[in-house]
Amino acid sequence: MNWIQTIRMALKSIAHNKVRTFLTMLGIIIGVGAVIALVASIQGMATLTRLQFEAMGTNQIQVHAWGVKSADWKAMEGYLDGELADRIKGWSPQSQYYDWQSKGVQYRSKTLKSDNSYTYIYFGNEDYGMVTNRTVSAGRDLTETDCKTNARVCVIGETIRKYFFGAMSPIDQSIRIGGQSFKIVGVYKGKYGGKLNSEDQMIVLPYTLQSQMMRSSDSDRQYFIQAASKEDIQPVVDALKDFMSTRYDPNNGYFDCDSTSQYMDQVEASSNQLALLGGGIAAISLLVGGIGIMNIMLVSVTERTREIGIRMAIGARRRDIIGQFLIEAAVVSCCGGLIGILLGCFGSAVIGNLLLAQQMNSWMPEVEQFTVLPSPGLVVGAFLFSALLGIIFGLYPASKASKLQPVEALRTQ
Amino acid sequence: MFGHKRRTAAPPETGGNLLIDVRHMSKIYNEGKENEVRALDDVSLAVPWGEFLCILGQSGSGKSTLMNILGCLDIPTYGTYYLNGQAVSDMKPSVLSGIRNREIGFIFQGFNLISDLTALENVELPLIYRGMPRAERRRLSVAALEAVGLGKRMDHRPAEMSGGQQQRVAIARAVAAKPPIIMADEPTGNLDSASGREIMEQLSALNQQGTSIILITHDNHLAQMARRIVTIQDGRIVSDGPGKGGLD
Repeated sequence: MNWIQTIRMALKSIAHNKVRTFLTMLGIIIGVGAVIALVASIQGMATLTRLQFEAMGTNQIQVHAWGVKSADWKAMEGYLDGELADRIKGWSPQSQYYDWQSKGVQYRSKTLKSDNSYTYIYFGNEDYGMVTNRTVSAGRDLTETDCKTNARVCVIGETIRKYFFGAMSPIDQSIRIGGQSFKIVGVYKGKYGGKLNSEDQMIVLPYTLQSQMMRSSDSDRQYFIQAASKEDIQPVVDALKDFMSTRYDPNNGYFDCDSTSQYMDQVEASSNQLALLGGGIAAISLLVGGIGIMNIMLVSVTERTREIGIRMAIGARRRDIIGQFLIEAAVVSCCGGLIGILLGCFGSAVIGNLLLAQQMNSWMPEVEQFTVLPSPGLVVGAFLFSALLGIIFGLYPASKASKLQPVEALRTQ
Repeated sequence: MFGHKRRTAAPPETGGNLLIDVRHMSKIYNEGKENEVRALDDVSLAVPWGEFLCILGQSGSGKSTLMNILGCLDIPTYGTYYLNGQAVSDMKPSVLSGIRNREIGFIFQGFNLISDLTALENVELPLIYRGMPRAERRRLSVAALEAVGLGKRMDHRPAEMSGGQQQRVAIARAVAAKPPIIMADEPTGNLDSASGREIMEQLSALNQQGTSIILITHDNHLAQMARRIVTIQDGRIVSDGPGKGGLD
């Protein structure tokens, strides 16, 4: 007896009992749907978090410190450019100020005050754009010469450009920051695909101006460093910590560096655990669905004892009967699996969108098109698992059916 | 599968070209216990090819047990059974399935059609189990249904047909693959007399075309259709003589 024939017979007998079959399937549908929706949502959120980290800069190392003398900063910069040069792509100071006196930023008669949203002022060098994952959309980045010559130039963010210039070119225009005049040499592309947002309400000045312009001590600084590759992150972090360990007084200063990749790894690891846990819990409902299949198959075997007897009398072998019932169970669970997959895709898209909407208010770069969908591996895995479940739970009823004795089965009414 | 212990005598020389050769066959339930039942007690029977044999007996006489064993649905406790030269009393269930499929066509009192399947699908079923290719199977099944006059009812389900029509579907199923033996167990028991007569005429016609028929019945009148009547009582054959070979 061939497979196609057996499958057709199974479909026929399933079609005969539509409501019952559907109720049996429901267990599998819910199980598969839950597994897929849960795992896909968790994986989707992990992807989202990774995108957020990547938007801040790939392979980024951040140095946070205070109470470090200027000479020691110089030494660290020399160390970065010297011994660590092969392991890094670049470095930049990243001193951030937002409470920019009370004068705000001015262009001609227009003023942008830091009332509702702050304008961030950063002091960086020629690598600033690279280490913070920004590219210029017009003009140029800061240069080494800008920094060496204490040039009064700046690169502005997209929000600043839109606010002051609209369709006009801002390049070579002068804006006033804290009452001092700076020439605009470049514009950074918006991080949100052009939407106005606080992240792009920023201006970068050559870091050499920091000590002149700010009253705060030069001993408090931040650096962003971009490692050459993921593998270089930890060595650079370790080397810097080691190099600086003797260059500040721990009682009167602080030096630390870390990297977003650590967080990314942590997020990935914990979301994997979460997916496993959630998927595992949802898989229990799948198991319950499997037991439902077994239950209904046992009922079916009892109900169809006479049919089994007839089939045996006219020449069905044990394996024909086993095949028939196994395939019936597998067809039910596979159909349930397919519907469950659709439900799971739908569910994960809905859950994903809800979570996304929540996140959108905070920090969500370039992810407007982001949709949470299960990975192909997850879909295939869930389908195969549900098919397997049908076969496993169909095995006992099928074997029970095949062990019926034809004479006795025929005697049943 | 069959839990009864079996003792088989050394294989005797098979008697020429016998279709059925049963020697000293017994079927005993609960042997050695207080509720022991000897359904068949030392039965021997030889049936040549082409026979139209009736096994006549009252309810409880053991005729159904005999038919089950002859039909390879059950196996004897003692004795040997050669069907078409093969010692079926020693065969495994899966081999017996094959024998039933190839050698025997069954017609039951209760028709025993599968209710979910159409007439055509019911007739095709044994051929499917045989592994016959689709086209050939279809051709044989259609021919068999046409032969019993149901060429226009092939897509009907059993519930949509009269008893006589259902039994004719069962006959078509039994004969589609042209087995050497038809076993009919009270084939007219659930039918009115006109339908019953029709069925018997079809069996008779099959016999004339060379198929061996074994008819099991309690009805003395119906038994006269056969050319030979074996009467069974309390598990033993009590008479074995010619029938009239037709009804009045």
